[in-house]
Amino acid sequence: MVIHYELLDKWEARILKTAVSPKLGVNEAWFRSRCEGCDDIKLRPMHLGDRGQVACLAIYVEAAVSNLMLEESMLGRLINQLREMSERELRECLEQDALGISDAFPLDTLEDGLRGMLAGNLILIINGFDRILKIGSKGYPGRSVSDAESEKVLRGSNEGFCESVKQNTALIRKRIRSTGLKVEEIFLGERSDTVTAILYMEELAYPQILEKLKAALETYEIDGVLDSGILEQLAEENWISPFPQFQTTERPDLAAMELLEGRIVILSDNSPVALIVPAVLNDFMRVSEDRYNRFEIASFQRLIRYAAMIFAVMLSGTYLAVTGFHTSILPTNLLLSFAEARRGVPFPGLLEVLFMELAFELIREAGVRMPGPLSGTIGIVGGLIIGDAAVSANLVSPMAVVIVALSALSSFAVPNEEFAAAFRIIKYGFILLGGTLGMFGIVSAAYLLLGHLAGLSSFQIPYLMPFTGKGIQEYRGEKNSVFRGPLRTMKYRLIYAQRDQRIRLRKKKEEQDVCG
Amino acid sequence: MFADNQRISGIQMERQFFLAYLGPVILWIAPLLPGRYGMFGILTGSFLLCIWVFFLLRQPHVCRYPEKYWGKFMSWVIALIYESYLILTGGWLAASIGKILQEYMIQGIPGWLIVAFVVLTALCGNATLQTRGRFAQTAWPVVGGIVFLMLLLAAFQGQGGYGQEVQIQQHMTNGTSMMIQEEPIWDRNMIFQTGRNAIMFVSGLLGIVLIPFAQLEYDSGAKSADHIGIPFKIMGKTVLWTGMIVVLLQAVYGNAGAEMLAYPVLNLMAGVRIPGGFIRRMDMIFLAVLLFSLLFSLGSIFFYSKCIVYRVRGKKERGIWGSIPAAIFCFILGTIDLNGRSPIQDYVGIVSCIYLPIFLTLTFCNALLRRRPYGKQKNQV
Repeated sequence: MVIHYELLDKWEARILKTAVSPKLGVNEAWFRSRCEGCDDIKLRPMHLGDRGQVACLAIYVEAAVSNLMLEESMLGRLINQLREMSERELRECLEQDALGISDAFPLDTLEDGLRGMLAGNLILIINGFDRILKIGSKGYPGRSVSDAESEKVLRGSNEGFCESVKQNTALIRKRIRSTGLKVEEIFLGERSDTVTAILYMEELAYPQILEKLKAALETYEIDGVLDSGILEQLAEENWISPFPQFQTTERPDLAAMELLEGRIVILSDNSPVALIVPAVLNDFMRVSEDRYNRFEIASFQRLIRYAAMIFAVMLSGTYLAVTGFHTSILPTNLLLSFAEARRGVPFPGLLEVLFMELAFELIREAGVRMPGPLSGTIGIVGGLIIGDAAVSANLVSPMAVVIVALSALSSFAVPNEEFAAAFRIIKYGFILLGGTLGMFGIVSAAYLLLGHLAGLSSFQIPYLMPFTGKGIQEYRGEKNSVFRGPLRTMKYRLIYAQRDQRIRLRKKKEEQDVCG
Repeated sequence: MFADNQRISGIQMERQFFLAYLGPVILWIAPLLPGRYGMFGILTGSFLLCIWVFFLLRQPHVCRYPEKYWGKFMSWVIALIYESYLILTGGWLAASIGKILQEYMIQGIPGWLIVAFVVLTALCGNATLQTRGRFAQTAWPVVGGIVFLMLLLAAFQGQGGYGQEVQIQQHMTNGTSMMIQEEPIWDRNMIFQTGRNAIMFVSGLLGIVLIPFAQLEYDSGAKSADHIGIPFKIMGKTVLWTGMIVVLLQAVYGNAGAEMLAYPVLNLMAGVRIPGGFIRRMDMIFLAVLLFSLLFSLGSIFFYSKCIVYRVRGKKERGIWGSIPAAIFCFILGTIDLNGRSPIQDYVGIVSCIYLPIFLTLTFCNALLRRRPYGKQKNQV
């Protein structure tokens, strides 16, 4: 039998935790050995009780617990309360767990205490008491709730997620005030020990999907989870595909909306981006505003987005195919103007378009990395000055600039950045095939792309839902794909919700009686 | 739950069928069935196919578990017969796509390279049963819709005299009489012509109908009407599509006109104008849409080739690896050239004379074997 000592050590480290000793000295030595060299962690010996006869040790991360002794803080009040008790009262109070303050939580092991302290709380070890008192604090400094910069809407809440998982959870809880909303916290990252919250509506979400998600999240051991993007990449089924299988959002209202559809939201500490699963192609084309606007407007906008998606991926390649191989498709005057525009350009069309597309990517990348005010300047410099100069210098034709600009504009109209990025990459395949094989190349690329999308699934939901939904047992039309139906006709939840929980909207019985 | 059960819905099957059928029928099958006799042939052929399908639907267990009924050796022999038919069809399809591409779309690239690319694309496009189902369900409304709209445009703009002009020109070139005689409604060859066309129609549909319908398996909760309903609905729609194209070609070109042109539908589309006139020639766009269907047809050949082997071996089909041998054979058959003549030039003839009788016999034998108990049941008896 082969014994894997490394695994055994990890197992022991997890299972065999050190119990809190009633002797303060023993506990203090354990903590001091662990915190050696960590100058930001403060170990403060204190004395509690009315005569200061009970020795204790407060341990906290300096910046996370800065208001230790403030009268008005919860922490300060608790410690003052403990100072005013006699030794007997103090011990009784601790034994009976009767501190009367919700944020004080007793822990049984030193490891749990250490984890609690590193999470930004204060821990109090009291001599003669065999438990550690974890007292909630404000935690680490972080950005407060602000606008969701990457998902601007004209109508609806402007609140965006911040970097604290607790605050993000609260932002969703604020919108769904029901105990049906479950929040499960797991710790991921061997060294970062990042809190990851899994949120779902108990009666709506499929338990199989939830189990699969948890299993996927715990498949890998990683040293640090610094953003939800890391979780996303590790938990994806088809990791080779450029298409995201997790939807991302910075908007709590969208996350809440999706929870009510029966989907599952994952929040990771230190990340303002929530992950939503399952995620299919249609989800990436929806924005929260769609639900708030009238159905005609929402449908029109969505139609534009779908058209933009197709343009973003196919426009440049089709231009090359038509101008390079099938000029007979075009009317003569248009063909002549194309030829006129290309006069004097020394490069073949394929190189010309590739050059422009890469130049655009360069401008985009520079614009993203530049500080706010400069990014606009980069766009103007890149788009107008370089583009104009390139045309004047006969490096590219004006038509190529127009096509590439339209293609770029279309990719920006796709609401989800990760999804748009996948199309931006695939576009190069269309360009190469269209430029070398003409229309057949475009058809081949479209065939392969659709084949790939048809093979993708996100947590067992086909990626092409709801276009492939018809025919599935007990499936009801969602009225929420390319066109969004009127809100009062959207009576059923999407396919993500459990089958017996699909009804989302119905008239109240009293109203029915009155109307009927 | 939704994605990993190796099942597809009825609508997915229907759309797979139409997507695979549309390209070949428009480009090659419909022009082979011109005029009145063509329509009679389609109707007779579809009636015969319906009877065949009825028997096929009653013997899915024999097709799904051939070894239990036929024995190991015989099931491999039957599998090889089916494989040879699929490879022949795949080779013919690859060669025909390559030829049409060289003629209409890509000049200056060697034919074998085009065929290789066609085969590779078809191979990589869809790998599993469910992928194909979803693919077809999503693609069919777009492909079918565009083709239908374009045919509708063509129907209103077709020049009826064009076919006659082609005939006159042909006669002038050959030095024969320019008299164009009207055909009588009934003639002595009617039965022969109709029968020939019916066989051609059945042969054209053979690959698409035979294997998928033989694999049908319904959920236990499915309505019994679905067992019969879906396949016959598919057959009915097939007749409508084929008939529509035959009528259109007949109306525009007449009997002989369509026969003289290599791709009469494409010629028809070349003359179509769309409102606004921003596209000069529609035939390229029409062909591009049809190519989507043709690639799917070829992909179906590879997929079923893999399915048959896996069925005999008793394994589940996964990925594209199992389809690679068939793809290689199809590529070889599609590019082989023996003294300027391809061995699959008379594809319809080979299928009608060789494979059609074999498959009919096999269906008959399956029907007999279906009644024989096997395995556990046999012991119990």
